[in-house]
Amino acid sequence: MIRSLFTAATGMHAQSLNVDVIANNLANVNTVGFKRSRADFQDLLYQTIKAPGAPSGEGVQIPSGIQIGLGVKPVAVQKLFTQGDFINTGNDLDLVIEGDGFFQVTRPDGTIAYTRAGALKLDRDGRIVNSDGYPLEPAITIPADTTKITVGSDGRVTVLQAGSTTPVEIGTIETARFVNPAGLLALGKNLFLATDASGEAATGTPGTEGRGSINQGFVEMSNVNVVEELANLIIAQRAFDLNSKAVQASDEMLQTASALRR
Amino acid sequence: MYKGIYIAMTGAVLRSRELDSVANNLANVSTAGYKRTSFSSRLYPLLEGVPQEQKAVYPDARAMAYYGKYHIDTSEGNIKTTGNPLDLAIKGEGFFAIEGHDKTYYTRNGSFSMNKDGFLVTANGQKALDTANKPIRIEGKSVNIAPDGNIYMNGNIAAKLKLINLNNIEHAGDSLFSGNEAGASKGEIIQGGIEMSNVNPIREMVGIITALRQYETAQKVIKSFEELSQRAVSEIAKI
Repeated sequence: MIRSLFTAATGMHAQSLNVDVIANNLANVNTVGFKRSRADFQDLLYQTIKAPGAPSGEGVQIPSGIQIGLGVKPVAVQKLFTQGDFINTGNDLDLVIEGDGFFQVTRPDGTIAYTRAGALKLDRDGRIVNSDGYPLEPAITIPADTTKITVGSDGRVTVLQAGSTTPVEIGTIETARFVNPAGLLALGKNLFLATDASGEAATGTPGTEGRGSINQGFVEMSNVNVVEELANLIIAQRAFDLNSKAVQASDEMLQTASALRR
Repeated sequence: MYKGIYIAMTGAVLRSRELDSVANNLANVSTAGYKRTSFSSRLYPLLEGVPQEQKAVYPDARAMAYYGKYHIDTSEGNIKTTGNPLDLAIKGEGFFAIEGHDKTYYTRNGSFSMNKDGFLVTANGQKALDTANKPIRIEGKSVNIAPDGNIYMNGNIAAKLKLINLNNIEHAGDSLFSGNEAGASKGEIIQGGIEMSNVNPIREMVGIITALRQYETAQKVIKSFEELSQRAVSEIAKI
């Protein structure tokens, strides 16, 4: 049957995936620490009808062959780890990483997950936790009589306790950096897991070995740019339209062919 | 029987091939670095410049449409700014060199990323090559790529991206091309941009319309031959 029918169908499938990705970006436009994704496409294999360079006669070569492509495939939905905008909140436990790196939290099953969402909180035991209640790794517990928490750019956490004027250091927030953050596995809930593709986490003090420094009193908004997403949405929808026209044309061709014999 | 019916058939078959090629262009309308393809048909070669004695044996019998020129349109696609430091676009001619299993491939799809060992790779994980045909390893905090392809890491030139011109290019799928190297390219690299597909929807829609209508024309010709033979059977036989 006509190849173009299937070729155009791959195009429609790819564009609908593109719209899915854009819709998720737009849905998370206000999600703290969210990183937008982008669908990347590649052309599928080619069917060679006439090989270039094959002899067409004695001493004569075909200068360019004939290859018919069979469509498109989605090859990656890549997370783009560009920095989001910082918003000043003044809250002591709102932290941002200026530059590369992730906060580490311990999931209930004991595995470590990584996040850029630094809107941290305290649980009833005084541990610093994320919005889902997962404690920071290494765990930091704030004494009950604390009046003021200060987090330095190197992650050092100091507190002022009631009735005292000397700050006491109670721990250090460590961050993790990856060679290839795009290879992390997105878990939802703003969390990522390390994979073979991302490489091992290089953990340590913020502000060293390429890890960004920490700023207190800010949250990092999502890095989704609404205007750009909408422009991409328009393109994806129109591309979907165009491919459906190719499906229609293939259908008409088949109809014409079948009309040869009534 | 009538030769014409087969001649018209070859035309129709080619038009459906043409639609295949248009459909592939449209499917790749948002594939970064894709280059559109087109082909034209021509008369079967035997008729052109055949020796006299052969013409006597095959008097016009081989007249038919045949694949003509196949063409990969290498014109530049629009460059979209993304701000992602590992998105590279080539302004002007040239291709990036990519390490394949058996040979070097080439691409204009500059959506690169790093793998876990820090090598610069395509979305498929194949390594990009420098001018010494070695994979490029990116280290350090920031990477800067100058328009001439020099890669600066922590302020020093660490490698130079290979940018090459090609002859006899051929699609290899996965955004890759194969071809013969034809000297270093003078193209400029733009960091933080991606070259979009050079498919023009208007041109492809016109391609669809022509292919479809010419297909219909061929169908009408086949139909008239059928009527002709029908008459030969029914009316001439009456006498």
